[in-house]
Amino acid sequence: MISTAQILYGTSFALIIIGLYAVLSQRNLIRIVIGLNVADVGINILLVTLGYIEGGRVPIFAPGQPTTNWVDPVPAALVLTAIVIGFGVTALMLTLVMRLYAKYGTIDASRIRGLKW
Amino acid sequence: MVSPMLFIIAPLAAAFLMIFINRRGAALALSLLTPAGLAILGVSWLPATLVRAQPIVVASIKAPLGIPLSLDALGAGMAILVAVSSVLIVLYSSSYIHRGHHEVRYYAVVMILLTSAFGLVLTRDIFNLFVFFEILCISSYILVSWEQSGAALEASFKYMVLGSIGSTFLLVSIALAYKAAGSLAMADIAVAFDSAPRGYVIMAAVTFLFGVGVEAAIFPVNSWLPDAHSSAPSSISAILSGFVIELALVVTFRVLNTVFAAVDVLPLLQIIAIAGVLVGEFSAFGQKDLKRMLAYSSISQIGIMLFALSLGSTAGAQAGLSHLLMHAGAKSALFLIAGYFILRTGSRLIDDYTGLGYRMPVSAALFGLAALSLVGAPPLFGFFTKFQILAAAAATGGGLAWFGIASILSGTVLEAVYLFRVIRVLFAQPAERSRVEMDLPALVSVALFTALVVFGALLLPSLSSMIGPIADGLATLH
Amino acid sequence: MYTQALLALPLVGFVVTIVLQGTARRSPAILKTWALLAFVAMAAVATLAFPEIGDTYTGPMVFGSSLSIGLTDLSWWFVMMIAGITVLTSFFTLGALRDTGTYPMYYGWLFLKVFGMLGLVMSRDLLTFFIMWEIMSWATYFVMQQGKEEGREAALGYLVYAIVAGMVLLGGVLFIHQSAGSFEFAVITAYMAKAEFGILLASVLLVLVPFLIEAAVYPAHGWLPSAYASSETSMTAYLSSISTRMGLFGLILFVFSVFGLKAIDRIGISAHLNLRTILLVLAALTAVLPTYTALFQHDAKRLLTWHSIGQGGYMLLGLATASTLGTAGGLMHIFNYMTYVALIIFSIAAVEYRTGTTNLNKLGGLIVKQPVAFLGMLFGIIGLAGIPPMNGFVSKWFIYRSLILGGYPFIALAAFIATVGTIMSVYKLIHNTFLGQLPERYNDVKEVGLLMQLPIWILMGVVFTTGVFPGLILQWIAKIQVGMGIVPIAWTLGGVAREAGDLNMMVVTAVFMATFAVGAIIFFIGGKRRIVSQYDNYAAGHFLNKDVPYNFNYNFYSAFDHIFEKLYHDAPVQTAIRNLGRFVRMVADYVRRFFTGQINTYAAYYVAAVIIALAILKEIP
Repeated sequence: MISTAQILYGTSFALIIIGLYAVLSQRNLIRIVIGLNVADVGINILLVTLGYIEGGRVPIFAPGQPTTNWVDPVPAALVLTAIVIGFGVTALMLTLVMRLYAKYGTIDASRIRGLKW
Repeated sequence: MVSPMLFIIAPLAAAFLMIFINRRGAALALSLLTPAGLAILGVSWLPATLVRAQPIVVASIKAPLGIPLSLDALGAGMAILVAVSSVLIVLYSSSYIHRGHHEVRYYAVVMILLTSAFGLVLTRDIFNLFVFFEILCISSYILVSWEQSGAALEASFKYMVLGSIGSTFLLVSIALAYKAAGSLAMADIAVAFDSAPRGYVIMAAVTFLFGVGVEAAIFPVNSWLPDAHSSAPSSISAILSGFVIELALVVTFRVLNTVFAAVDVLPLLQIIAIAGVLVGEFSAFGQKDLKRMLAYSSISQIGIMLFALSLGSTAGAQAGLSHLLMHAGAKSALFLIAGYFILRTGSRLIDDYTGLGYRMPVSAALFGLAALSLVGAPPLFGFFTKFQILAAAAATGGGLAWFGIASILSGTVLEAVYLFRVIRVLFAQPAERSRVEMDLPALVSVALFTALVVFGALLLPSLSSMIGPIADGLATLH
Repeated sequence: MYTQALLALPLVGFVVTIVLQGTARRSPAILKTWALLAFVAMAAVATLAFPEIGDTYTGPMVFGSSLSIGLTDLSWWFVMMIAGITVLTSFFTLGALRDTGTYPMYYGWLFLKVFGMLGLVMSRDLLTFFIMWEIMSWATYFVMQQGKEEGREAALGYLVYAIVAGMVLLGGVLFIHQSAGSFEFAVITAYMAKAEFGILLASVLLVLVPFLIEAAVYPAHGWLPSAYASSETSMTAYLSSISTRMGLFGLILFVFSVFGLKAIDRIGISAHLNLRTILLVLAALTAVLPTYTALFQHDAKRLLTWHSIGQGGYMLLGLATASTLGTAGGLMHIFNYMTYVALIIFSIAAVEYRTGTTNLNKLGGLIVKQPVAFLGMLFGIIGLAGIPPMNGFVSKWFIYRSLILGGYPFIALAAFIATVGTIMSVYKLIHNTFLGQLPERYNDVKEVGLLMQLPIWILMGVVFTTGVFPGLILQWIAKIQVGMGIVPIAWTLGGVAREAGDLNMMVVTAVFMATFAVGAIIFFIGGKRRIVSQYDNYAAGHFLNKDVPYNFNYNFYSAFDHIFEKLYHDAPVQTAIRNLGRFVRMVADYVRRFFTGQINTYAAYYVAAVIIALAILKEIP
C-alpha cells in the first residue's frame, strides 16, 4: 500500500528531475526558466510533504479545538518564503530573457555564447 | 547596548532610505557612512567575541521558536572585512560609476548585498541562511547586469540559472535536515545528524555543498564566475571577487564542518580545491581579456583557500583565513585598477594597454604590487599567507596534501607568468602621452587596498593573537 | 651592527630612488650620483663588517622562528665581490647610461637586486635564504626590463625559469622544514647527517635543481643568453659577472655546509659514481657546448653571455671535485670571471657608446680610435681564454689539475676542448671589434671619456695583479675552505707551494714577459717595416678599397658554423624544453574549453558534480 506521503515524495523528486533535465537539455531560454520553475515546484511539494501527517489537522489555535495531531506548520511557512523568492527570481530571469532577446535577437542558448573560454 | 542586529538592519534601512530620498549625495553619504559605522562597531565588538560568541535575540523570541543569530569571532572578523572593503569600494564607485545612470539604485542594491553578506555570517538557522543566500544572489545578479550590455546580460542570466539550481539543491538539503531534526537551528540539526543514517547525511551534505557552494565558486559549479566577474562593472567585480565568494566559502565550509560533521567531507573538499586551483590557473594562462584573467585567477585562489581550510588542521584554517584577507585586498585592488584601465583605453584586451604604465604610473605600480602579492612574492603579504598554507599542508602530510602543494606551486608558476605578462605590457614602449591617472577617490581606495597587501605581513604578529578564536569559528558552532 | 646596516643600505637606496624618480628625466645626474654614493657607502660598510664574521643577528619572528643574518667567511667574500662590482658598474653608468629617462627604475631595481643578493649570501636560515632568493629573482626580472624593447620578451623567458626554480626551492624548503623540524641550518645539518636515504635524496634534489637553473647549468641554461644580451649593456656586465653566480653560492652553501659533503656523498653507488659525478658531467657539458655556441654569435654581448654559461661550467667542475685544489679553483674562478667579464663588457659598452652597435659583422679596426677599450678587452680575453699572466689562467690551472689528480681524465679533456673554443671565440671578438679595417662610418669615433675609462683601467689592474699575485685572492679562499670543511689550500703570494706541483705566477709572468720582450726586440730592431693605408692591401686575390673592404669580419667562423650547426641548433634538450612550453600552452587551451559558454553544459557540470561527489563520499569511510 502506497501512502499519500510516498506519492508526494515521488512526485516531488520526479518534478525536480524533470526540471533539471529541462535545464540540461533545452536550448530555449524560456524553457530553461520553465524547467527551473518545475524544479521549484517539486521542492515546494517536498517541503510541504515533510510536515504532512496522515489525517492531521490544520495547526490553528481556536477555542474548543484540540491541539494534538497537527500537521507541522513550519514547512508551510518555508514554502511560502520559497514561493515568494522563486517568484522574484523568475520575474528577474524573464526580464533578462527579454533584454537578451533585444540584444542578441535570439533566445537560443547555443547562440548566446559571447562569453566563453 | 546596541545590538549586532544593526548589521542586518542598518544597510537595509539605508537602502530603502536612499531610494526614498533619491539624491546622489544622500545615497553616497549613506552608503559610505553605514558600512563605516558598522566597521567601527565590528572592531569594538571584536574583543568581546574573541572571548565568547555573542548570541543575538531577535524580537525577544528565543530559539527554538525564534531565529537564532550569533556573532562569534569569525563572524566579527568577516563583518569587519566586508564593511571596510565596501567603504573603500563605494568610495571608488563615487568616481567610477557613471553619474545619472540610476546611480542611487546602484548604491541601494550594494547596501542590500551588504545586508545579506552580514546576515550570512550572523545566522545560525539553516533556512534563514537560505533567505540571505537568495538575497545575496539576487543583488549580485542585478549588479552583474548593471551595464545592460549584451555580455553583462548574458553573464547575469547564466549566473542566475546556476544560482537557481544551487538554491534548489540547498532547499533539498534543508528539507532533509528538517526531516531529520525537526528544527531549522543549526545546533539541533548537528545533533540530529550525529545519529542519522550515513547515506542520508551524505546526501544532505553534498546538496548543501553544491547549493551554497555555487556562490562560493567552488569547482566545478563556478562556471558562471569568469563571465559574471568579468562583465560586471569593475567596482562590482571587486565586491564579488573581493569578499562575496570568500564569505560564501567561509559560510559553506563552516556549516559543512560543524552541522554536517558526521560525514568527513574534507577529502572531497581537498580534491575539489585542487581541481579548482589547476583549472583556474590553466584557464587564466591564455586569456587576452584582463578582467577575465583576474576572474579565473579568483577561481584558483578560492581553490587555494578551500584547500587550506579543508586540511582540517588549526594551522590550515588560520592560514586559509589569512590568505582570504590577503586575497580580498589584492583582488579588489586588481579589479579596481583594471576598471580604470578599461575606462581610459576603452578596451578590455591586455594588448591594448601597451605603455599605459607611463600614462598611469601610480595605478600601474599599485597593480604590480597587488599582482606580486597575489603570486606570493616575498616580502609582500601574499608570500606569508601562501607559505603558511603550504607549511600547514606539509605538516598534514599524506599523498593528497603533497599533491595539493605541488599543484599550488605549479599553479603559481602559471599565475606569475600571466600576471607578469600584464605588467610587462603596461611598461612596454615608453609612450610620450598625457597623464591619465585614476581619479582621486579611486586612487585613495586602491592605495588602501594595496597598502593591506604590502604591509599586511606586519599585521601577522598582531593577527596571530586573534586568529585562533577566529579560526575556531570554522570548527565549532558558537 | 655593520651587518644590519649593510643589508639596510640598499633598501634605503631603493626607497630614495623611488622618491627621486621625478628627477630622472630632467637631471639624471642626481640619481646617478645618489646611486654611486650609496653603493660606495655600502662597500665601505661591507669592509667594516669584517670583524663581525661569525656573528648572527636575528630579525623579526616569522612562523615561529626568527629570520637571521650573519657573515661567514664565504658570505663575506661574496659580499665583497657584490659590493665591488656594484660600485664599479654604477661608476661606469655615470658616463655610459645616457638616457636615464628611458630607464627610470634602473637604479631602483638594481638597489633591490643588491638587497636580495646581499641578503641571500648573509642568510643564516632556510626561510631567510628563500625570501631573499625570491626578492633577488624578481628584482632581476625588473632589472632586465630596464633595457631595449626586444629584451623585455627575453626577460620574460628568464622569469619562467626563475619562478620554476623558486617554486621547486619552495617545495624543498617546505620538505626540509617538515622533515628536520626547523629552518635553522645547524639543525638541518645534524638531521641530514643521519636522515633516511629517500628524504635526503628528495631534499638535495629539490634544493640543488633551482641552484643549477639559476647558475644556468646545462640543460637549464637556455634562458640566459637572450635575457642578458638584450639588457642595457652595463647591466649585461653586472648580470654576467655576479648574478648567475648566486646559484653557485647556493650550491656551495648547501652542498658543503648545510647538507655537508658526507651526506651528499651518500647519494650514489660508489665513490666514483655519485651525485658529484653527475654534477661533473653536467658541468663538463656546460663548459663545452655553450662555448662552442659562443663561437658563432654575431653580437658581442650575446657571444659573451654564452661564455657566462660556459665559464660557470668550469666553476662547477672545480667545486664538484670537492678537493682542495678544485674548490680553490672554482671559488677563484668566480672572482676571476667576474673581473674579466666585466672588463670585456665595459670595453664593449665603450665601443657601443661611440658606434651605437655591438654587431660583430659591422665593427672593425677600432684599435686606432679606442685604444683604451682595446687594451681593456685584450686584458679581459687573455683572462677569459686562461692564458698567463692574467688571473683566468690560475683558476683554470687549478681546475685542470684537480680533475686530473682526482681521476677524471675525460672530464679534464672536455675542459681542454672547451678552452680551445674559448680561445677561438675571444679571438673573433677582439678581431671583429678592434682589428682589421676601420669602416668609413667610424672615422669620427673617439675614445670614451675618463668616467667610463676609469672602471676599465681599474679592472685591468685587478685582472693583471691577481694574475701575477694569486695569493692575494687565495688567502681568502683558504679561509673559506676551512668553513666548507675542506683542507685549506697552501697558498703563496705567487700561487701554491705544494699540492702536487708548484705554481708561481711571478715566475710564469717573468718568463712570459721575457719572451714578449724578445719578440718586441726582434720586431723593433729587425728592420723593414712601413706604415701604409688600410686599403694598401689585398684579400682573396682582390685589391681593397672602401667599397670592397677586407672580408674576414663578416660571418667569422661560418665554415665551422656549417660543421657544428646540428650540435646547437636542434639540441634535443632545448627542443624538449621548448616543446614543454608549447605543451603547457596547449593544455591551457584545452582546459579553457571547459568553460563552453553554454548554460546547458554548466548545468550538466552541476548535476555531474553532485553525482560524483556522492560517489566519492560513499567510498570514503
